Formats: sequence, C-alpha cells, structure tokens
Amino acid sequence: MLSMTKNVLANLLHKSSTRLYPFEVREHFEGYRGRLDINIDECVFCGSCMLKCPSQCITVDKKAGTWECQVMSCVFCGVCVDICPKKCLSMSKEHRSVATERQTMHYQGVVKAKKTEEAAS
Amino acid sequence: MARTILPFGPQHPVLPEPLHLKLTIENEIIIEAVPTLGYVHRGLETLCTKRDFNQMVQVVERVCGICSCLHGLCYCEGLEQMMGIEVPRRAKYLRTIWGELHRIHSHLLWMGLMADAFGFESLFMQAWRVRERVMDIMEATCGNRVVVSVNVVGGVRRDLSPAQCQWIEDQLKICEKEIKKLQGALLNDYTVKKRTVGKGILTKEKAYQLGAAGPTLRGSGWAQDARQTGYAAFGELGFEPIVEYDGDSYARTAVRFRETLQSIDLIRLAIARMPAGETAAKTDAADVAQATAAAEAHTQNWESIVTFPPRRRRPIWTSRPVTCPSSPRASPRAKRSPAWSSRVAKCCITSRGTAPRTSSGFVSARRHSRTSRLC
Repeated sequence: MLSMTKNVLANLLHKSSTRLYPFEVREHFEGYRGRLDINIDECVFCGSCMLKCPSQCITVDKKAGTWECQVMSCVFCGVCVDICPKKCLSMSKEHRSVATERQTMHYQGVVKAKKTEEAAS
Repeated sequence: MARTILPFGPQHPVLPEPLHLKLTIENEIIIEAVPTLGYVHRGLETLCTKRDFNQMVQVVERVCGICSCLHGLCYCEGLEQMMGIEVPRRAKYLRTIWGELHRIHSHLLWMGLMADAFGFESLFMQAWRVRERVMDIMEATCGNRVVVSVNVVGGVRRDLSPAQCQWIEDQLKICEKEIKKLQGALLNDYTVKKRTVGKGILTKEKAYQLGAAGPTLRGSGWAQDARQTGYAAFGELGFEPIVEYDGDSYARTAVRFRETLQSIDLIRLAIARMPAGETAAKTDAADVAQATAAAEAHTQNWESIVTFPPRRRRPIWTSRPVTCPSSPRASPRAKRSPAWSSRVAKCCITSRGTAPRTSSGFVSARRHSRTSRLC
C-alpha cells in the first residue's frame, strides 16, 4: 500500500519535468538531424545524393545546374550527407518551421566546365 | 447472466492502432478475448523487393517506430550473412548498445501503457519520464530520438567517443535508480496486483502452440530469447534469459521490468568490453559486385515464392512444399555452390513457417491473399 508515496513527495519537492513549450524550447543535441542544407557553390551536380536517397526526394539536373529537394518527402536519414563527395550537404540541428503549404528546396548553381574543355580553350 | 459477445474495435478511441477484439462477457467479467489482426498492411514487403537493398534499411526501420534499430539490425545482419560480409567487432558492440537502449525504452513504454490501461496514470507518467532520458541518449548519440538510422549493411554509421560512453553510463545510472523506484508501485502494489495477477493466463503449452515470442513467451515459462542466437555482440557478452512461470499479466510485466534492468547491465558490459577499430566493413568493387549478385539472386527466388496464383483459396500455411526454382539471373556464386540455393530455400521455408497461426489466422490469411492479388 502507498507504494507511490515516496515518488509523489519527491515530485512535489522537485521542479517540473515538463516545459511550457512555446515559451521554453529545449535545445537539440549536437549531431541531431534537424534540417538539410546545401552549399550550392560547392556542388558539382554529380547526382550521388539523388541515387542514394531512400525516399527519392532529391532531384539533380546536371545540365541546368539545379538541385531540388522535396522537403515533405525527406526522412532526414542523412544518407546524402554521408555520400556527398564534395561535402557540400550538411545537417543542422534546428528543425524546419511548420509549413502551411508544400515546400520544395530549389537551388540554382553554376555548372562547372569540364576539365578537357578548359584545357582546350 | 447469459454470455454476451461484444465487438471491440477495429477503430476505437483508446486503441493506438487498429485491432479487433471479440470480447465474451459474463457478469461484467471478460472471460474470452479473440483478436483479429492484419488491419495494417502497408505493403513494405513488396516495396523492399523494388529498390536497391541499401536504400531499404531506412524503409525496414519504419516497420515499427518503437524498435526501429532492431528492425534495421535484423535486416542488415540477414544481408551480411547472405553476402558473407564480416562486420567489425566494434560495430557489433555499437549495435548491441543501441539495440539495448531501444529495448529499455520499448519496455518502459509498454510498462507505462500497461499502468495506463489499468487506470494508474501517475505510474504511466513516471515510467515515461524515465524513458525520456533514454530518448535523450538516443538523440545525442544517433541524431534522432526514435528512428535512429545507424545501421547500414556492413556496420554502423556513427561511433561513440569515450566521453559519450561515460555520459551514457552516467545517464543510465540515474535511469536505473528511477526504474528501481517504480518497482514498488508496478510489482508490489496491492491494487496493481489485483488487476494483473491471474489475469490473461497463457499457459506454457498454449504459448508454444500459438507461437508466442519475446517477453510474452518468457512470461509463460520458456527460457528462450532471440539474443541467445548470438546476433550483434550478444554471443560474446553472455546472459541468461529472464523467465517468469505464471503466464499471467503480472508475469509478463515482471519479465519486462527485470529485462529493463538487465539491458542496463548489458550496455555497461558492452561499453566496458568494446574494442577499438573500424565501424564499417571495407569492401572493394569486386566484393560489392559479387555480394550484390548473390542478394539479387535471393530476391528473385523470394519473388517467385511469395507471389501466389490469383485464385488461391488455401490458407498460407497449408500450401505445397516450397521449392526454389533456379533464377534466370542467378549469380555465379549460386551456380558454383548448390549449398547456397538450399540455404535460400531453407531461409524461405522458415519465413513461411511464421505465418499467422492464431485463432484469427483465417481472417489474416484471407486478407493477405487479397493483398497479394493486388500486388
């Protein structure tokens, strides 16, 4: 009987375990996969991220130099970040804010000329 | 009073997932509950045959959110064994640590919901408060709270630094203290015992016949644990399965409670014995090509087995003996060793053997054949 009394008294004396959420927000830990970012200037549009993505949310157009990500389809697994040869993809610990409509990350980069063409010119 | 049969579910406000129960009631006491399962068929099995096996780790992890790491681990270990990949020892220990963390949080979740089910909401919140600390460990070490996504074919994607290991041990020390505080309320309380002791008895024979597994099986007196097969690093750590003999709700709760504490000890042991080294197996292009061919051959065989003729009415488990016709795209390895195809066939038969055998099996079978026709 009264097996919870100790816990109840301890809870009364300790501070609350929960937070008043919108006013007090908990920081995420380092290395948390919150959102996907790209440094488009470094990207060479190799398409590795597009091939390896399990949810197939990334579209890379090598000719046009565009990198697109369907944010609603992304599962934040971080496979693209691991696979990127130029390390231009990264994950930050902040969440993307709540959206009222479907979002697409669209980036336009500059397609780098091939080395052979550079040498020829 | 005459017996009344009350249908409960499949959609009901108290149910987290669809489940139909046919409850036989006599004098407000439930004397029989016949469940009907199979309302959630997401077609993940078919999806897994469609794309690259590396991409499927993330899909497999989403079979169940509570034990995502263990689903991924199971899938990766299966593929590694088929392909003959040697996983580094450190990766095995890391898998053990994260797998056991998942077990702790799963059991705490279960115990909390159990307390909530018999109306002890305060205990439910206490259990989930402890669980929150385990979720924090997961977020800090894996990058996410629930779907940790650390397993890949050949190893793990993250490593633990000595500082992180120390932090995990400190956090688990607090968890252990908190969990032990709940023992009095969960296992020794008069009102709780009144609702759990002698309720929902699953006898030892019945548990075996119905194919029970996990803590449910061990609560009925069977000393059998899947970890005894020695997957990840469990073969090196060594442990005794926790068994209770009564087969009632109380026994199953006690098994889970004691397993939670055992898991904490196993994590400590794994951290202490974890060797240094690589976290993922390194393979050259030839290895990858051979392993992929072997896996593809297996996928082909598997497809030929799971696709049933469209008008088949026979229940799944009484079907004809399984045969593995040779695949048109069989790998050179499969051609070389006949042992390989026999291994595949054996594996398939084992999978077939786990078809639902519960009292609701006929319903599940019908549902399954319908879905397979659609596929």
